[in-house]
Amino acid sequence: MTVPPGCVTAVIGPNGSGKSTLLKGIMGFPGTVSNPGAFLDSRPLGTIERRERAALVGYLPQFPPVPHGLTGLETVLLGRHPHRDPWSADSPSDRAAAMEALELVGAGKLADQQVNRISGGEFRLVNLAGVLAQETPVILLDEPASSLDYGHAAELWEILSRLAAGGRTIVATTHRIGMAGGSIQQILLLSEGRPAGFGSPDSILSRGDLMAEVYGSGITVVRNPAGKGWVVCPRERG
Amino acid sequence: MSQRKRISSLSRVLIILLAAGIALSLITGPAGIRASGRILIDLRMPRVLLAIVAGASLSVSGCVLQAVLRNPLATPYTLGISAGAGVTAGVLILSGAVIPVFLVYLSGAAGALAAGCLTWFIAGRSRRDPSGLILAGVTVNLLGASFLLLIEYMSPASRLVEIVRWMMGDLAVAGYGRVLFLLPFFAAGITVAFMRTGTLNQFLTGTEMAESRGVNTLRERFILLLAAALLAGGTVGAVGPVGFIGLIVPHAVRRLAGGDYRRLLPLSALGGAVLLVWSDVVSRVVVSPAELPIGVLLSLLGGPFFLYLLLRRNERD
Repeated sequence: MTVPPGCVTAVIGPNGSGKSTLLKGIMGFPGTVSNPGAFLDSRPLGTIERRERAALVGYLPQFPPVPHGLTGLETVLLGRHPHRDPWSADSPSDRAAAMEALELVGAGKLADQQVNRISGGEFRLVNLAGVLAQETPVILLDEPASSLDYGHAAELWEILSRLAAGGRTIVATTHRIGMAGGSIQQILLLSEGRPAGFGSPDSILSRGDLMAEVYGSGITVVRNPAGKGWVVCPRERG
Repeated sequence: MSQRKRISSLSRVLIILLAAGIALSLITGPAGIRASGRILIDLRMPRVLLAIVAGASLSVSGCVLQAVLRNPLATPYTLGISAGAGVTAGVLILSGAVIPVFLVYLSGAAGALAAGCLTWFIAGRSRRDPSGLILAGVTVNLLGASFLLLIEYMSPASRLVEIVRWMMGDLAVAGYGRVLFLLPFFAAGITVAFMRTGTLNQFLTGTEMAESRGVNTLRERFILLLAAALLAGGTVGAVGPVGFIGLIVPHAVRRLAGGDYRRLLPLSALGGAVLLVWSDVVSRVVVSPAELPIGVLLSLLGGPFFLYLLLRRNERD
């Protein structure tokens, strides 16, 4: 599977199909199966030194813990770590990058709020801003839209689409493919830890037989009547 | 009040409190003796210096562990450090060995560090996970506590009193031996911790996020735990297992100045020094002409402090 620059790739599949494990494997986290098959511009990811990799690949886990006592802006500033010494203060450019990332995800108002006092969806936006502040050409996101309301979820996919248009490479897992609309260019469909399909959204989602085989016969996928993309609905039984 | 102003006010208040505490400590004695030259230089000055270094060490140690173990209730003793020191001190007292005083301090520190290392090694693969390390620390603590009970049971009454008294902590000194003993532990631990404040911040967001930002979490966790064990182990060797400072001070500073370790660590060091210097002053006057052991006083403060936090939390909820 190749993910070209300027492309948003969605990884979908039932619970336990290996979506998060795939991202963790690409990152080469301790305790996951190291993936000698993950390359970045033909360089094996596992051979890139940690700090250099952190400036190339950003990652948002599904359930990062809440850093008690930090404000929204301070949490986003943690994303600047690969670009400075571990003891140095925030430079004006760090603060500008962090604030810009917060504004980009529409969470500028959370800059001075304690993150342990904001909602789960707001915390998700702050974390996403943290990954964007890392300014990496490749971004891996594990369920970025989970806990976001419909409006913010739709906005998130638009932001990802814009970032990709700017040359970034984005891979995001999701259960709500309908919210992505026309923002994605590729879909990887996983089933029981193996790829069941890979290609354009149309080539994967139009195949009702494939989707039924992976998700069961309780769903159907139809074209979004209000715009681009596809919508997953429950199938009328009987 | 903005956070910046709050931090600057807190720093000023702590510096004033430390200066006032040092002055009071130098002029206060349990027997009401006026400080003459020798008493000041050989007894009170080393005592206040010991309180400053020990307080800062315990506070920074607790602060570091709370980030690395991602648990606000972690203390220098979570890794079994006090139990380890207790066992070596207990064995030494029980044996009745007459050894140079420097070796007595060193054996306490060695026991503390050995317990910290044992925690790291028995955690095995679970050391990647903070809860695995905490579980290993609890195990080492229980093992140490049971050995200490056995030692206490086997000790004649006079030695038993000595062991119990050692467990209560002691800042009474004559000369600068204890301060000089503690200084290398303090310097090494503080330098390592202060050079990693940004890394400590990364630990707040979890192992995966920290790894994705270029932190070698396993190596950094080991280095930081070693720094915390050096700070706490050296202090336990020099003054005995004094509790609560590593819990109370970082907790209070975090509430007032936020959780960014670049501010939290230096302010906690200052706060730890203030608390131990003032506790020492109080311990010398509260049951005058005798002295209340410093560990007893801090335990008496620790319980109500957490009761206050609990009540405030219940009120808020």
